[in-house]
Amino acid sequence: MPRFQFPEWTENFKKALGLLLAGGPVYLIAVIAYGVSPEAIRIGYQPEQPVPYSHALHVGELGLDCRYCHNTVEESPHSAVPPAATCMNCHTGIHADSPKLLPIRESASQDVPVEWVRVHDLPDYVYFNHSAHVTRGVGCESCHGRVDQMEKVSQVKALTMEWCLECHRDPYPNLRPIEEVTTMGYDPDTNRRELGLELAKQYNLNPRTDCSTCHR
Amino acid sequence: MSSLKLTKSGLVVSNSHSVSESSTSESSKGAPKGTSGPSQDGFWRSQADLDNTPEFQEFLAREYPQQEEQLKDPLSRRRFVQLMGASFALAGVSQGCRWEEEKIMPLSRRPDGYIPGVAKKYASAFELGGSAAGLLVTCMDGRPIKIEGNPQHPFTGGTSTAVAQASILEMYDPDRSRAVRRQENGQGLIATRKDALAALRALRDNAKATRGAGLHVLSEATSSPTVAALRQEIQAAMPGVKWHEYEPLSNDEQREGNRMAFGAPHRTHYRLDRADVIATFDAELFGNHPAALRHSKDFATGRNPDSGKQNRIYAIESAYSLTGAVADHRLPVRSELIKPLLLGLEQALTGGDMASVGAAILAEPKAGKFITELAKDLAKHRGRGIVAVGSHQPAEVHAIAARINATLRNQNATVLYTAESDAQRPRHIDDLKSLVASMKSGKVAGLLIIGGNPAYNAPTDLDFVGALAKVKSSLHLSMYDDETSKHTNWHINRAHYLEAWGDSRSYDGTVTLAQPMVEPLYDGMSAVGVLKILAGHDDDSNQDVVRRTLLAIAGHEPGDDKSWRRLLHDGFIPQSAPKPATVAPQQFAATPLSKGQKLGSTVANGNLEVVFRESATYDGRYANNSWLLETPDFMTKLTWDNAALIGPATAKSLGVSNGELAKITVGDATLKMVVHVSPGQAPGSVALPLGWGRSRAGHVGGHEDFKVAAPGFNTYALRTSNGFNFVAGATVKGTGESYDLAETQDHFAMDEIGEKEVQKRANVHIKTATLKQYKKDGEKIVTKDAHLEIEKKLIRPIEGREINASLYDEHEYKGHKWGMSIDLGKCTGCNSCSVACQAENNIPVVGKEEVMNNREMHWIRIDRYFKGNPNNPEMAFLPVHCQQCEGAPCEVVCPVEATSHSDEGLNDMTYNRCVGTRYCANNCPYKVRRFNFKYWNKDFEVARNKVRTLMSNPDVTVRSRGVMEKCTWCVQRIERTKIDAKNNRRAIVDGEIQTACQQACPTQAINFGDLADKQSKVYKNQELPRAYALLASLNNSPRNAFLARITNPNEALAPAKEHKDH
Repeated sequence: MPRFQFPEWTENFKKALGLLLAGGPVYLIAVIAYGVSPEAIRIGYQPEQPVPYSHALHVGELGLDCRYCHNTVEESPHSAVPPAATCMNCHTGIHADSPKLLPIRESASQDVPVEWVRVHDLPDYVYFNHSAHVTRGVGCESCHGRVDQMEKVSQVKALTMEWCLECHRDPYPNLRPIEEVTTMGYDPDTNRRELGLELAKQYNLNPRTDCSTCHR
Repeated sequence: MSSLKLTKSGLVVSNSHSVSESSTSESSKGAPKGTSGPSQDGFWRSQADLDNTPEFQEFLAREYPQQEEQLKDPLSRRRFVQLMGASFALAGVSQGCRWEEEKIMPLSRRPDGYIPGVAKKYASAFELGGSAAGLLVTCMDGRPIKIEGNPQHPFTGGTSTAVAQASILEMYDPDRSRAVRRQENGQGLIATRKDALAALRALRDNAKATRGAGLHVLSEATSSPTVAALRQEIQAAMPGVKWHEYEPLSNDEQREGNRMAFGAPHRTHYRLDRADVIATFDAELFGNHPAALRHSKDFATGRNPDSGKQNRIYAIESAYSLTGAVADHRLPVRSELIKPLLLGLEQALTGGDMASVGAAILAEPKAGKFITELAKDLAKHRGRGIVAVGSHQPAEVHAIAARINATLRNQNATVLYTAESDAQRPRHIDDLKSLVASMKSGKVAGLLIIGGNPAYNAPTDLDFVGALAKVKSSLHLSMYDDETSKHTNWHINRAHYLEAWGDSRSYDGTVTLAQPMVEPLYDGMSAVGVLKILAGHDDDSNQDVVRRTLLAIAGHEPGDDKSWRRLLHDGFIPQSAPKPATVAPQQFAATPLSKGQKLGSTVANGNLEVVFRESATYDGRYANNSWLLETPDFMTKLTWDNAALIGPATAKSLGVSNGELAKITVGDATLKMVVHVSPGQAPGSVALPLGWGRSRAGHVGGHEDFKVAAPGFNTYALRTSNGFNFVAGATVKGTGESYDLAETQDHFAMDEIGEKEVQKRANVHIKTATLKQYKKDGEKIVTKDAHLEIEKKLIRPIEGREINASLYDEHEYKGHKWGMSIDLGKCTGCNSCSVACQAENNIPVVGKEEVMNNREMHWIRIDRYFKGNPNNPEMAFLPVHCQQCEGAPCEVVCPVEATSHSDEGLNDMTYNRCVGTRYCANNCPYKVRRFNFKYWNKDFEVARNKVRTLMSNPDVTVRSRGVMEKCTWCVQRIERTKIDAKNNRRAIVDGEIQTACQQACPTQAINFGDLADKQSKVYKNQELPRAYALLASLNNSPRNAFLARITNPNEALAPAKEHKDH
């Protein structure tokens, strides 16, 4: 009885197996590497908030300036999330009974904070300063994206050190006149780089890339 | 023949070698000159260094002493690896892909003017022993995090003492009492604030029936106008209420001395800025003197060798004081000999017969000559001299000094007197005695104790605790449930001064407002609140009454909101200090000299003198303050302990050695405590620092309930009302048992090779010269030790360098170039900078055991060096922090670039990059890098201790285990100011950025600024001829320059040996 022999075409499996053995780990590592990369983890992070506040409505449609609520942004490292009292400036009259606004009303009447979930969360050893950027012509949009189009806020930039340094090394394409800092979709007719170079001169900007600029 | 010759020459060579070796070891035992060991001509570091003991040799021989791994944990290496493996595995499973979600919780209503993340500063006041210091407290998001002096305060100014800096830690101390406690049948029962109020009302109601008779109040010293007003109110309603005041460290002898001299208990003020010759008799002007900040400032004003204005200080004292450390001449004598010496000075000044007073001591050539020359100098500077006497000298000595100052026309010129508002008050110790007598006789029905801790710090012969048992109802208002609270019927938890409204007067009398920064953390009551209840008010709120009192003093209507807001802003009432009083000396009865005072400076065992002095814990009240406990003592460099200080010669004759437990007997009392052999301690005198060995301080300072052993020894056990300040007749007997002392001076010694080289070439790290030499030689005083021309160029700080001798390329600086200068002539070693740095930079405390392992974390260490005869050495301080080298040796060895050079010249330290190789620390010639061997802040994660985390400076990363750290020159302050300046489109002005150490320094010896700005103070300082770089020959180009210590000795007294090498 002749011994069973694999037909010749099964030889192709061998090649495939070799490819699998060699390529499998590479593929696995690539998948994991991508999976934990800042781009994959951070961009698109969109947590549920206790109140479904819509930036698209308030900024995009109603045209509120960012600083109506985030009013400390020009003076403080933090662009503070507004107190419930700020919401109540309007919402005592508008949608005063909306169930969606219940946490706001509770906060205002019972003096307890609303627990917002942080979207843009830098590590604790990074000392980012909002005031140092918005008073130097870096628009909100540069880091936070088109907030005016967001129903629910999500992170659009990686906010990695590499990303920060990119701009600190070459800030010019991201500079705009200070009056335009909160403008969404800023699109001047001029060349951004040329405008940036001019503004950098005007505002005396020379962003540093030393460690202590952000880490202290 | 030739071989013989060879052998011979070989013999000769080996012989000469051994000869030179033995001469090295001999010379290092004391003989000077030209060897690698420390010589008596140069500065030496500690007794061990001077003696070159085998221990010190071994210490230096160890390559990296501070990194020696001494894993005392039972956790073995293998077990550790197992655990780590497991936790890695778990980490993968449980962590998921994103870190923990963070919440943002805004206030529902943001108060006016509050900007989250921006620090606010408010004026307040810190009172210690009845004198205030004006403060500016930094609050971040509602939490006070840092204390600084109030620059506008007319008396205390913008600087602050180490104790004031550390007082913020007290507020966040987890061991603070959090509730009222009632004692019933020996059982402590938790009670409420309501109960406490009811008890206070009952105290009042009971006393009302007798119009106050039987009700006594024992208060700590306070100069609060509001307390005084409430006291008046209480005594008006109940005239029988007796008021007592007690402080274990009191200035009352001076009061009584002035009562003798002038008939009124005036307060003495020394104007150091106006004086050319300052003679201090056992006087500590810079340490815990209530006017220390002013003295320091004025001393610095008068010590400016570059403008030629330089005062001269003579210190005659028993234990080394900060004043003695900066003195140009120092004479160590027992405290009891101050009186004959002062009388001798008076005789010398008035041309009388010197031999008639204190013959024995004055007959000694040293003391006699010292006093004679001092008298000549004082007489030459009439009206521009000061004779100052320390608070623990008896009243008569103060009176004699007052007489001398009048004779010298110093009175009303450099020595001023002001009237005291409470002239009728007896001295503290007498006051306490009369109270205890009443208590023992059963006349005291109710006793309210406000602050203080008499059960711990009252003289032992009074038996305060025994007397307390006879009081029917006793209440103690205190921040801690301490020794006194244990024995009173009620303990009422007290609000910290940063939690309640109050007021006080600074030493000159300026009324200063104490403004609260937060609501009381534990709902504590204030002294004002308690007295309000006693005065019959309905509630204990304290703002209204403080406001009313202060507006009345300032001459405003009670409803004047504008003036009140002004007062809140300023923190003090301008012009509220009393004008100097006109005084005329009168005759007073002189007491004859005691037996001891007739003896010479050497006394036998049994006749030794013990001197009680303040310590890091002040009088014991800061015994639970870990910052103060771990700050090395300016003189002994001891941490976490107090020790009996005995001079080297005395110790030798007594047969006791450093670190030996000895039995010290004073009268009937004996205390076994550790001996520290302290160079410069007067022969026959034993200094006993007070305030240690507490039984109910807390987890840091010892507590019987928590089974925490107290650090140090309770020297109050030897203190009686007759031997309150110092007493003769003590015996010291060594036991032969040894005790571990955590002494930091030999830690972080600059390494052996560097040390040798420096000894050989420069002889000293501290460059020093006399004013005369400086005027004559100028720059040569700092370059004199350099052997090569190139070294001379390196010794100057970076500016003015013409050469680059480095292998590396030079850095280029386009913007700021931060630089610093430290004037060694002004440094008094007060430790204020060190504690300020600890507060600013979230520097952890490591504990005694870890200090002994060389693991203390202070970013700035104050090296103390001695020079000359160990029994009367000169002392000098060298504060060393990161020198921010331009060619930094630490930077080039970091494998991960965690430490790197910034374009403004700082050596940045990036914690999150650090992997803990410790190469940088090994390569740092100044040994200023600190490694986190453990996660020192772990304790704060316990729920009970979490309150402590509120104090952290949010602008500075809290470092974890395995990370290297070091001084950053407060880069967070630099960046904040830079950002703020640019936000407002303005330039940074010189002096706007102050590092924490600079800000706190009472003599303003530290200067920080921009070297690119040629007009800046720091640039000018670095250009001074006396500026030099530390370990310059290594060519690190530090950005910090030390200014050589210029002394102004009296040539007639200058020891022949001094500065002979110049």
